[in-house]
Amino acid sequence: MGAARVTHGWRQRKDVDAVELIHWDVAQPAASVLPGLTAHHAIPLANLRARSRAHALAPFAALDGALEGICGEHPFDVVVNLSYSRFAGYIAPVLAGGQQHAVHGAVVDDTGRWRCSHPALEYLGGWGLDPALNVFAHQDLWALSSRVRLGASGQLPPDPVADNLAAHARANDAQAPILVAPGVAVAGDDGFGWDEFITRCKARTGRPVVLVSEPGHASFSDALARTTGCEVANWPVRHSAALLRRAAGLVGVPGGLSQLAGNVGTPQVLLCPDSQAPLEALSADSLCVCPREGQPTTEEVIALVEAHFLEEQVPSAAFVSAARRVILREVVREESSALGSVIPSWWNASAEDRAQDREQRAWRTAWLTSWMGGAPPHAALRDLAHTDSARMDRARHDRGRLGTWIRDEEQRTGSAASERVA
Amino acid sequence: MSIPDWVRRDPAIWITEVEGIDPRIPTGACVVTVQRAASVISGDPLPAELGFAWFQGAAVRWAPDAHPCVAQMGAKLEAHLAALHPAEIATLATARGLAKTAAALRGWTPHSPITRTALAAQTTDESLDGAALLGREARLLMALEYL
Repeated sequence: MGAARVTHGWRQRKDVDAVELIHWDVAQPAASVLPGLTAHHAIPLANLRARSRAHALAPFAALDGALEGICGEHPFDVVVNLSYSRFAGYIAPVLAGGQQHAVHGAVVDDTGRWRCSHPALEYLGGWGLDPALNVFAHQDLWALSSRVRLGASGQLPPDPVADNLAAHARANDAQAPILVAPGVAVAGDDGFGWDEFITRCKARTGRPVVLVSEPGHASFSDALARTTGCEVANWPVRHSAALLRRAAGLVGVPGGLSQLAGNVGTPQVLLCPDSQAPLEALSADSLCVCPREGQPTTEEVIALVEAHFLEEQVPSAAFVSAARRVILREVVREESSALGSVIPSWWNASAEDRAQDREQRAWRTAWLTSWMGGAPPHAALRDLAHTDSARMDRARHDRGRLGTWIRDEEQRTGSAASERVA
Repeated sequence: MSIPDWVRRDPAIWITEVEGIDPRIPTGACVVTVQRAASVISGDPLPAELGFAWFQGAAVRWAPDAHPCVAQMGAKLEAHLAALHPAEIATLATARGLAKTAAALRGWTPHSPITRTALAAQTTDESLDGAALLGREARLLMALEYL
């Protein structure tokens, strides 16, 4: 769903007549809801693989035919590669009629070397999504590499047909429901009592609670539905989006549904697996409950639901014991328009945790400034230089502007110290 | 423009005793009679339609209630197609518009396996200074290595 910002962003440009999407056929349900698309083309993955088993050349003619069918005699003026796979890296320049410079994203160049058109993608390739190193939301790095501004909206367009169906299906709801997406966890495995949460949440808020799951992940939600008597709505992507639009909020684990919720503007409370907010699934208007020494209790999550979805006043005392076990992170858009997570001011967090937030924000600013060709923010980087972190070690080896600045600065500081000693 | 139907469909060669309509024939399949298959196996030129179907990776299929001879002939035809000489495959590639691949296949050592990587290496373009550059066909062949 991160592609939504890119398809929407490119369609908004006045010099763009059409935006077409090429994807594997298995991604058809998600591709069909993306905004700004003039057309989308589904390449049959299973079919190509089946041909490949017949003999080496069998999928060749089919792939050639597929690309010919998509482009005809008129290649695309610009190709945005939203994949980091070698397959897409080889294909992208073909779609651009061999014009390698017309490809934004990762590409295998004419000499067979792997190249990234934007340093943000090199950063992602080199640093991955390890929260100890990376400080950017996954979708921000893709937006940057696709030449879409960071603040671009990825909101899905209205879908009156699906909205109408969802309205009929939920006609008996007196109030907007609370959706629960427990993911694929096995009961008791993640330490959070989903069944207890559902029962208490229904009783406390008086709202209908509906279980939802991604395609193929229905078994756990079905089992929960049986034990709690809760309704379950394992709907296709389009209809899930419509249901999310009608919901008061989504409580769940980071994943496809939480990203979809981000794209339709539904507030979320996400129970995260790690102490940092998940970079691959950051979306605005969400609260990430990150474990430090345990899991939140059901009562604490219900209190967050009341505060975040229903805008009720919850005394901060309700979270005093939670703050010892978990860290609450709120996903926000910073001044630079990058997505970041910060501990809310009302959450009882240590000075060290808050300093980490500030450090991450400073890194984001430093990297963004260097990628945009601006002067590195000296003051901020001097502060960062004092933090002996893995991020600094890696940034020192960056081949771009930021790495150069850090190395120069360290050399300067070292020389000045030597002079003083002399 | 859109992806043509023949790409979306699973390719198939349907072998039958007599020509005719059978609802079990997969859509778009190349239908071959036993007689025609026998003539191909015995050395007649490969019909273009049958060649294309094989080039696309079509498996030879027949009706489950077909006479055992049909199944026998189907297996023979499949073995015959699998043993096509690179030069014959080159003809099919030419007809499909894959000129560089066809040229590479014409010079292919018979009986040596045709691999995509080796074929890609032989279908590269050349820059002015003689360096190998990936063209369309080489790119597609290499891409398929990462399918």
